Amino acid sequence: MTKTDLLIVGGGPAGMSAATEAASHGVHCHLVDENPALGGQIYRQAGAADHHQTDRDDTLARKVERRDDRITILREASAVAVFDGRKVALSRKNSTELVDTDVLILASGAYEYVPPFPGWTLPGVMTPGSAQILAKTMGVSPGKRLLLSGSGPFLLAVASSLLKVDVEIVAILEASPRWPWVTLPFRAWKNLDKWKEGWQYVSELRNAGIRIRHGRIVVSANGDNDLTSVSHAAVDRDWHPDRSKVETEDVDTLCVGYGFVPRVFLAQLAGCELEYRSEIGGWIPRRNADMCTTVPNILSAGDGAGVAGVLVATLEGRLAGLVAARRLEAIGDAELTSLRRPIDAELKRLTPFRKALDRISRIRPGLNSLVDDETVVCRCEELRWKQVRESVAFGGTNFRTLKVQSRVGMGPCQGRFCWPAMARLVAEQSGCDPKDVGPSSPRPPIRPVTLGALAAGVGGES
Amino acid sequence: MDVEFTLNGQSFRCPTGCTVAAALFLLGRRTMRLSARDGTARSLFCGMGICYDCVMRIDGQSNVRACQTVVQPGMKVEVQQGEGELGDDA
Repeated sequence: MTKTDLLIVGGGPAGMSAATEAASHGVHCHLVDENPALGGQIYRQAGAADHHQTDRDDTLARKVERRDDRITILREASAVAVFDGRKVALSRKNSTELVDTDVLILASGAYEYVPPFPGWTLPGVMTPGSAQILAKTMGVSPGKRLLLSGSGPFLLAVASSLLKVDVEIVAILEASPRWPWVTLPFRAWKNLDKWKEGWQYVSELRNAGIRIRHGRIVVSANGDNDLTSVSHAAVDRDWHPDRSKVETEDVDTLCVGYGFVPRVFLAQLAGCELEYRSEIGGWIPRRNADMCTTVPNILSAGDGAGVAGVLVATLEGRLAGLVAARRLEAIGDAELTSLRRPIDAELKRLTPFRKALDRISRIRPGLNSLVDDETVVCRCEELRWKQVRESVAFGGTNFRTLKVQSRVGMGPCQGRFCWPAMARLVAEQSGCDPKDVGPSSPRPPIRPVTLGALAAGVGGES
Repeated sequence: MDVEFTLNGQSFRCPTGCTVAAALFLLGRRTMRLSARDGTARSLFCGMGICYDCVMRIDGQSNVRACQTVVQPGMKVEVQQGEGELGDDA
């Protein structure tokens, strides 16, 4: 079993910042990431060297790599379980190992929120992030004619990446009404630089002749074995589609996503208490201002602790790194107090902007009305809404009871993709709040591991 | 175009460093598996390795994620049927 002072799970902005901050105060740490290169999803590094775009920001990754005297990077390894609040099981392609750590920082990031709708399992329907990875890291176009749909500024960033490959973007459908920012409190305008960044995307897309249509959502993806067209409708303020205002567009690719969901499986396995905060992605680990969860010496930072974007993730990562350094007695109380002051101040400065964005892009209940009885709601187990609805009527009220009755969440994704939306559907069906329906209940290993990899465990540990 | 691989026994080439998923999109053949219960076509969905919708049979092993696997010279890629079968080495 490997022994370390500090283990950081996730090599995105939060994890990399935590590692460099802790290391700069003399802490030796291990940084684990499931990808071949550091960066996380936002700074995802190119796979095909000849094709990548050069706009990626890899300064943080370089900083981490240069600190190889103190930071050990474990690439292509997935953290699949946590035992006793300090032993983390890492799984690689052909092996597994246990790492025993004094302090654990979870910086697992987030994934996209896609509510079920008819036809969403067809080839050609994918998350915006998926299309962006194809375009950005490999220069590959996801299709010939493409529609982007959902909510939030990420759609604009993806469209901007897609301008660089050979694909016709038919339109961007943004669910929120046209100018939501006129309703914002004055405080939010203090973060003018962030609004400017958004505006730059808008003008870049406008110059490329791409239409952004507000107040519309996709209601169905159509085709037999491959996507051939998409139907979309106008929505009201709560995103309820008006079925009399449906348009159908011939496209071969649909990118759809309504924001992000924090990855909290490891926190759950470690026994961290969760709380439901729909405006930042749903279930998140309960934390104090020191980034500490309810389990001693387990911290959480970045989008995995509540979706807030790269700037906040970087700051939270640095703060978590400092607090870890204090726990390991690499710095004293006075040093921590003075070092964290500018970080806390910057986090506070970003708050109005974050709150405004949360308000604009919060998930509205109308998305629940997209499913019909025959819509697949659990992609892994191919469950249709009718089956889950009947299980709810039969008394299924939470993840566990519904899992037993209907197999929901029993596939390889363990409910990552179906449950965030399903919890809302089930809540509506049973007349309660999603927080009463509860989170999914992951089991170790949190991703499929081959028996061969388990059997080849390092050093014969169980 | 530098790497040769096979898709369902037929030879193709793709740029070095492409994932299996990207290579299939370049070919315009994006069905990666047929689902176990309904036999419906599935393809790339989340693109980051967590949804397991794009799993294929690669070099004789089933349930390998096309979005996380870089094409290697001579790689045998097959559309996965249902749950897949035990690997050749099992």
